[in-house]
Amino acid sequence: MLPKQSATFPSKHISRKPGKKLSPKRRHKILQNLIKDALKSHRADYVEIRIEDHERTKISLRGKNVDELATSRSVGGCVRALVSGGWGFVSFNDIANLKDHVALAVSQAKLVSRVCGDNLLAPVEPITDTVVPALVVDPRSISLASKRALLEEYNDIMLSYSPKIQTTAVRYRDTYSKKYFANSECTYIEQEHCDVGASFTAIAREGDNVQQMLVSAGGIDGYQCIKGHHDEVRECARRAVENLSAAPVDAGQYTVVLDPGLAGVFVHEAFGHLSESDFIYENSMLREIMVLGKQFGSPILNIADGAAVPGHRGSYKYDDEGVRSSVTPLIRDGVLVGRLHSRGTAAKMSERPTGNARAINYRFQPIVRMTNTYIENGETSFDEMISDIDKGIYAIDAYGGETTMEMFTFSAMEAFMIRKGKVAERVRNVVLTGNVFETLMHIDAIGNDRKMNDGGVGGCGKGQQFPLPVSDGSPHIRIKNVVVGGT
Amino acid sequence: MKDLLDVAIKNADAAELYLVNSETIPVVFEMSKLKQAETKRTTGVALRIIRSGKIGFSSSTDLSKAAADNLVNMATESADMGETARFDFPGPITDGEVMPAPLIYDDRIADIDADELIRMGQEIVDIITEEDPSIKCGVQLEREVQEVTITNSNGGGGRYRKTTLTAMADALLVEGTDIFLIYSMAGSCCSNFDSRSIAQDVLERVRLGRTIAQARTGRMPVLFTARGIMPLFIALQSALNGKTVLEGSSPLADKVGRQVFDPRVFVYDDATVDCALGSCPMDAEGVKSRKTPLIEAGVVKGHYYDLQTAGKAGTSSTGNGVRQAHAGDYFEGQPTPGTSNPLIAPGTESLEDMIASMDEGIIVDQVMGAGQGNVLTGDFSVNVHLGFKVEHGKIMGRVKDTMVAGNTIKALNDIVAISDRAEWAYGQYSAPAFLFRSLGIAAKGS
Repeated sequence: MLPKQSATFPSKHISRKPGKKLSPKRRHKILQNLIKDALKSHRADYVEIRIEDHERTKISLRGKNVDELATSRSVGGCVRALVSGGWGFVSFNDIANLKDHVALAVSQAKLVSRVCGDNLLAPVEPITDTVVPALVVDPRSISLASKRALLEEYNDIMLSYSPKIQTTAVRYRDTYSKKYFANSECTYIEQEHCDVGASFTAIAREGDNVQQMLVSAGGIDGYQCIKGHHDEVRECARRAVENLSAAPVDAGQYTVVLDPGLAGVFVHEAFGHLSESDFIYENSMLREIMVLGKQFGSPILNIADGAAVPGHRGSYKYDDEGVRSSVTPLIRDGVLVGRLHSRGTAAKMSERPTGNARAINYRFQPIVRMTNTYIENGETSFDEMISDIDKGIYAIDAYGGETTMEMFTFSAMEAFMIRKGKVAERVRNVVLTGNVFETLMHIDAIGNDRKMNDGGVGGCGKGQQFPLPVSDGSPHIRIKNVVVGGT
Repeated sequence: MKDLLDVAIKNADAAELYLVNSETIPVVFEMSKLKQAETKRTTGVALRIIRSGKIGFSSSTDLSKAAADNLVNMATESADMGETARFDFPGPITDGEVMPAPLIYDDRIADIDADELIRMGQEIVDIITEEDPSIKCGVQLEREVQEVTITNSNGGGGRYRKTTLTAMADALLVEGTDIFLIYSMAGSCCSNFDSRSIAQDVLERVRLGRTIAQARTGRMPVLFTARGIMPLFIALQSALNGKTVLEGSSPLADKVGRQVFDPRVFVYDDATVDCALGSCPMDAEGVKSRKTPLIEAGVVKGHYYDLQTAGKAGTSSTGNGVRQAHAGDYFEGQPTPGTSNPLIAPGTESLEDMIASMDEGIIVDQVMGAGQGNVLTGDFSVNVHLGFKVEHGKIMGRVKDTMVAGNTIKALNDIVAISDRAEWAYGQYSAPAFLFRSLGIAAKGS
């Protein structure tokens, strides 16, 4: 009953000798020919084809049990077509029928263009390139058994730390992706990418009081980034247990100092999403709010995003529209100086594409996304930063964050009161919220100790596209007048 | 599929295949204009085996012969490392002993094409922008036809087809730096669903939110609408999950048969509701769907389970085995306990009377940050993304820069009233509105 088709590009469709590898040149030729054929008969203005092959390993431990341990393979592709300003998109697993998918994408684009056809594409130079990552240790070369053994070492450290540790969650994911991109403008790119991440959660309990703490690891240069975290994991268990004795924070408005972990989430949530141009490019009111040259934050604030920053979870050479990645300054000395673009948003705003069009996989269209987003170093040391705070909060690491453009919220994993210039007692349930336009103005001190956060198995979500690997980072920062919700 | 099961069983004590074929057609309007039409076709298979008493799992989008061997090898390797199986795959579902399968397939939905979706989407855009052309709206209509086949070596499983039509709309109003954003989402498996209802739903709240009112920091009565109650719902969903119960991290572990909530609280999970988005004739492990009482009259009646978790807990699956999507591949996740259609039962008061009874308080209709806090303890602390100030029984306007915080179990013991009508929230769960006596509000500038 199995359908007689191969979804693996391109062995069945092209190769006559199973197992024999095709040269990139030959693959290129075949894809180009397919596109040319489709264009001949359908006269689309633009067609792009993405074919992807993802191999994943997932391991999850919960308490003493293995919750998930599996490998998976996801092979498929998509076609995006632009006809008279209307977009059509088709995703599929049967790559053998590529030509039919192109025809369907083109017919859908025509359907859209009859109603509304005002989509544009900013011009970019055609590219031919092959990108292969330099891995220290390829995760595919490590057996499931040794991956599980390492994770169990970490899990055992947490479980045996204290009888108050009720349970744990250790999650690990590695993905090796091969991505082929070709479009009707003669761009042909093959990119391979490796993404490895893990998170370690300790859950402490005392009666009805349950507290959890999470540390994470990850990277794009191989499996070794998961190794050697024994001390952090032990600390994680200790922090979870200590948090049991923390008092709930009193709701109100505070001066808060964010550690680099939480400040990274802050810059991603509070500002980063607003700099994604697809939110604003067709709304004149929002464009006015986000006009370049506007004073957006305090003069000590500098923010940038870029996949061309090497070595982080959001790093790559070409985005999912085949555009070369870059580093985009977003805020310089508090002034709005840039934003993130796809080819579509750049064309509408008469700006240059920044290489930020990303899709989580072949089932989705590329949309404007962040990559590695960070606040640049300032000049204030941590001690100076807290020295003149009479009553404030020192908030560390984030459970998560969310934004709806104007408003943002994020929750601290761990927090301490600051009293009379000193870090004082532990508090819990610290959730911070604010209005981006005011909050960036209220940053009045920036540290000189920037760290990037590359850990975890999650990522950024936008619309239906989750999880997308990104990194964020910051030095310590201090913000005045932040609303903290208590319980 | 039978072939693959035969190959798998050669190497294992028992095997199960889960095969998905689906076609989704989304059409997307952005800023009140048609943006794109899509067709997404998904094929995937998951193989689960029990080998030497241990569970192995693997999944693939490739259904070719060569890939099948690889799938079996990967599942075998994972079984060597896997968890001890505490269950047997279910045998054939015997009809007659339980309710008939719910309605989840409608030819008229299956026949909807991109052209018709565009027309339906344009109607929603027109209703919203006719009220106020300065509203920019985003609309997404999506039609899905899904075919699921489950077979196992005990002769269990089955095959079903499901259609869904979902509609999402948002309205955006910008004034100065005030960005006012409202969402609505609804859907059904059946064609009696009128997608235009979400336009009215959005507009009603636009009207209420035109004026801005100042909230104050302090404790006060708070009314959550069906949508607003999301953070409390997430906490209940976590606390009633057989897995968190088994691990001892749920506050409702060891509470079965005990009065934990106000006697007006009733919570069920019901996969047999006709036309509801979460309905299925069987769960993702081939266990017959049913209605499961979780909380009745404030008493914890039970928790929800998949096969493996139930086996460990010494109980039976409640037909709540789900496979969680990873990046759109929903056959990729191993079965785990999950809700189908969670239902919080309505009460007796009218929503109007409940609002009229509030001397000073807040209505919470959309929240941001639900699920971010300490979900395990039921503590919530969320931004009131859309909420209203009530004074002397009247809605005064929309609040900004405001948070609401509390504890789910405490709040559900401090209920003033529950509304007489339950509504679907984001197509995910059905709930009435709850008015709580006193919760913490934190507001900027007060």
